[in-house]
Amino acid sequence: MSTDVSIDTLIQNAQKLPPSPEILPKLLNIIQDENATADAIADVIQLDPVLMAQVLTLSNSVHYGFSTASENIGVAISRIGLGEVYRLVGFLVAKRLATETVSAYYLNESELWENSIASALAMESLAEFTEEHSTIAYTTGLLHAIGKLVINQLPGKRYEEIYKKIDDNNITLPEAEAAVFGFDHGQIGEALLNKWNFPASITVPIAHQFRPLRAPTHKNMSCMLHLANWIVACLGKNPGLHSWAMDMQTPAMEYITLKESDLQKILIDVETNIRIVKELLSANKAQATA
Amino acid sequence: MTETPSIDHSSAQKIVVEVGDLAFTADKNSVLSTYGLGSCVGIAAYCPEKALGALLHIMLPDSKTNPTKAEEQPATFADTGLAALFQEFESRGSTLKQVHFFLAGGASFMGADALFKIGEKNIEAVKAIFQAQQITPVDEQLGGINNRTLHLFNGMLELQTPSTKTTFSLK
Repeated sequence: MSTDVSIDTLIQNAQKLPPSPEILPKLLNIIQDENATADAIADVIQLDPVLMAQVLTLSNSVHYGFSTASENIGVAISRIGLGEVYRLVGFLVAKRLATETVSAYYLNESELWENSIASALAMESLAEFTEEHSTIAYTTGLLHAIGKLVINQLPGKRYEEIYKKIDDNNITLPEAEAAVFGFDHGQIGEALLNKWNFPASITVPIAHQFRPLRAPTHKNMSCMLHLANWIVACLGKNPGLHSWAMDMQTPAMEYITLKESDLQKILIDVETNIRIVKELLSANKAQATA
Repeated sequence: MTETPSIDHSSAQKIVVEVGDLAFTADKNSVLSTYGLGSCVGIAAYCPEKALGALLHIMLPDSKTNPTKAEEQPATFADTGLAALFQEFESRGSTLKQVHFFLAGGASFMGADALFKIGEKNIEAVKAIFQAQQITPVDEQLGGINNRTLHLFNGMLELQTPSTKTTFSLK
């Protein structure tokens, strides 16, 4: 067990960190401002021409049903809205984060991306019930597993010890991570996102997703993320070895006053939303390769 | 039934069965595939007499929880999904006694209250329906803490977990 190593040292020891999704906190700051303008959003997105082109392509897909194409981000925002443009940016940024096989967790590149998208959609559905901020919920789901990318880059391939501990001691994946590295991937994700200036409303729930009632602040969002992990698992979007070695705390559901019938409804809603987004993204891929 | 050597379906036409879907094929060049069977249960079925294969991916045990969804997408639920599977085999001229079934999936979080053990509830629901129909699946890989993927190709079933690959014959 290596609890004597600080979380910052762990991050420094990672051979390669994922690219910073710096555009997301910048956009979040603007969106949360009541006086946010489409121009301010467009200015930020235009700083990344590749991303801008991809967002435009997606916003022009048949999914949105416009007969003419948006020629710039400003027009796209006026047509599909600030929130929807932010969602598209999120899908694309999450894809940049997960471009390689995550061998520590037996994940191929598309599996981590799909898990991130499904979690973001689950958080959006939960936010409707809890009346929490939908965009914060979406972003929290999108980035909830980023700590796995750090563990994947740690030298020595010690992650095999994680699976041995699960098999030998019948403990959960986060417990096994903490036993091997001193921290679970949620806590490592929090440290990385702090480094990248994400707000506490996102980083605290990510750190406490496995022990949501211990979150010092943002307990609602932490409980939502705890449930989102289960929802996504039920929809087959939590791939990887021993990915069901998790626990589920009923008090987390009670804390946000969800009923069993709500959960089943959310499960079905999220399954439908995953299909819709999958169609949107695959239509875009087909368009790009045509 | 015993495990058999691996099969090569890499050049076959892939028919992907999503969550809450059911698909049939009698095409020798097609493979039925379903991914991410976690708490969901996958039912692979093959009628050797008709060389007809089917794959069902159910998500929840009971259609009464959402009748609207059950009407739109019956394969979402164990009761309506299996009814559709059985009915389709019969309408294509296979009796259920001729069909070989394999069950996979039904994972559950290891430390969770019964409320969250959807995988166990799915397994119970599927098994109760098979029992009521007096059908015994030829084999099963149920429960556990891993997702599973199924590929059904000409009566041969490949079952993958993140670290294993096993082939079974449903012929």
